[in-house]
Amino acid sequence: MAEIESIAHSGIEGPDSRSLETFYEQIFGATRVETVSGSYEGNRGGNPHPCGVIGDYLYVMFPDRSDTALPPEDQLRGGIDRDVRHAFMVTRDRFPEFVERLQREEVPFEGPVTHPEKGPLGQSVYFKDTGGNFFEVCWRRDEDVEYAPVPVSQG
Amino acid sequence: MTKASTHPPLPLGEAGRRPAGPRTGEGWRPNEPAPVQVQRLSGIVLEAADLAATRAFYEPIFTHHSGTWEQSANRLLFSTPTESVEFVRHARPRTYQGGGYHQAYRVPAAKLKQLAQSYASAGSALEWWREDHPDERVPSPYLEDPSGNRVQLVASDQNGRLIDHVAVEVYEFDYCEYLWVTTLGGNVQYYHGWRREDQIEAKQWASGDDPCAPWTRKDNPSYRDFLIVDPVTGEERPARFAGEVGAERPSGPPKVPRPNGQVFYTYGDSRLALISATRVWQEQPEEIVKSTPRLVFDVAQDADAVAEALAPTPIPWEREGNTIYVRDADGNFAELRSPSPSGRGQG
Repeated sequence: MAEIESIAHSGIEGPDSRSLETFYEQIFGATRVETVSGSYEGNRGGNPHPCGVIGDYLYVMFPDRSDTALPPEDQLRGGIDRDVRHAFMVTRDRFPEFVERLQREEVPFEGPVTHPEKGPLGQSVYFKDTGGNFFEVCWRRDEDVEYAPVPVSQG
Repeated sequence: MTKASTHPPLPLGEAGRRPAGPRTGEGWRPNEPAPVQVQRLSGIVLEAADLAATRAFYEPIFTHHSGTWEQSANRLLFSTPTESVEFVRHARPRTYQGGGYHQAYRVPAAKLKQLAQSYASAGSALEWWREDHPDERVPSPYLEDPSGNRVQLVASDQNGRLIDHVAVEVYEFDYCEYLWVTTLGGNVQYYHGWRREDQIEAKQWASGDDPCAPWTRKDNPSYRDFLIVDPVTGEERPARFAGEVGAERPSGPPKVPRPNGQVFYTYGDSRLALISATRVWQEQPEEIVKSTPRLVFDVAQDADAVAEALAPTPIPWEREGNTIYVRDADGNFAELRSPSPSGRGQG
């Protein structure tokens, strides 16, 4: 029996964690939880790593201290070569609106890519945040399917 | 030996953009006008124990600006045509000694060193520190006035302004930004602590080779910094297992330098800095809205319009004539001065 319920949160890094915070608010409509973490507060000042929520997805942001090279500027699609891509879903109706937002905010993106008709995904766009982390926003062909809710503890 | 940082100035970011209010879920609304139209940070009201000693301390600094002194039993005021610095007498002045609170005044560049040295010669503690804002990366002198207010002298030949900037401490940036940014329209000019470069730069401070001001850095180990390594398995274990696994026990807390979060906001040609609180300061009772120390802002609207703008917000405020007093979520005070007299009211 699986004992893990769901993804709790992600830790995301970038050269500028505050810039990540504003990107997610601007592009995804994220809600800010905090810009300075009091949770790990030391004896002098809170830690400047922000936290936010997109829908029910919680994420925390850190300045990347590993000096990892950012992906090439023209690479907009990740999750292919040991890098990570976070994918969010919008409804088919709202998908064009999201694409317009990327254009309006001058975020370079790849797509919309139309997926095979028999597959679960309809279309996707691929882009990066200000820290070089890869994202996808898609709509699903099965978005109207109703699933019976199953209490996780009984699954 | 002190030296200027070799770290190149970072680009100013996000000017003209304002984050949304705290936890509103409404996302960004870039370039939307703030409800209160602040023109500039035009004054400070501070507390002082001895007004005569205070005046004697500040006269050599303020003498470089055209202004007048007014003094009464409980109040000392220096005002120029556009700015004011006021001291209110208190037996035990609140000055937040040892923290990041400070007021920076401009003095002619050619007189800076001599002026600073004259204070040192007179027995004042003088420090040369630098800060992280791109304009403050070269060390400048810091003093404490007779009551403990921290004073920074800024070399400037643009003597139009007396107050270069003011810094206050906050705990919750987001809630405080609801006043300073979302409501009063401060533009984020620069921030420090959230970038990779900031984290790397902080290590210079640990090596003793960076004269940065004490509130800009912190020695802040996380729990992982206390782990020891099992010499056999290579596994990281809490330090209490050092004897059991034969590892060397740490001799003391590790020094883990980190930048302290700071955000700088502009209001017209003036600047306010919010510093992540360096310690726990006792706040004044929450029902107090008009108090000191406080910042003074000139606003473009009349007081009726300011009151109307504040009414739908959670910001506590009260009004006296054409001045409205406000308080941020962490107990910092400000007054908003409207240009024309208007009716009386109470928020």
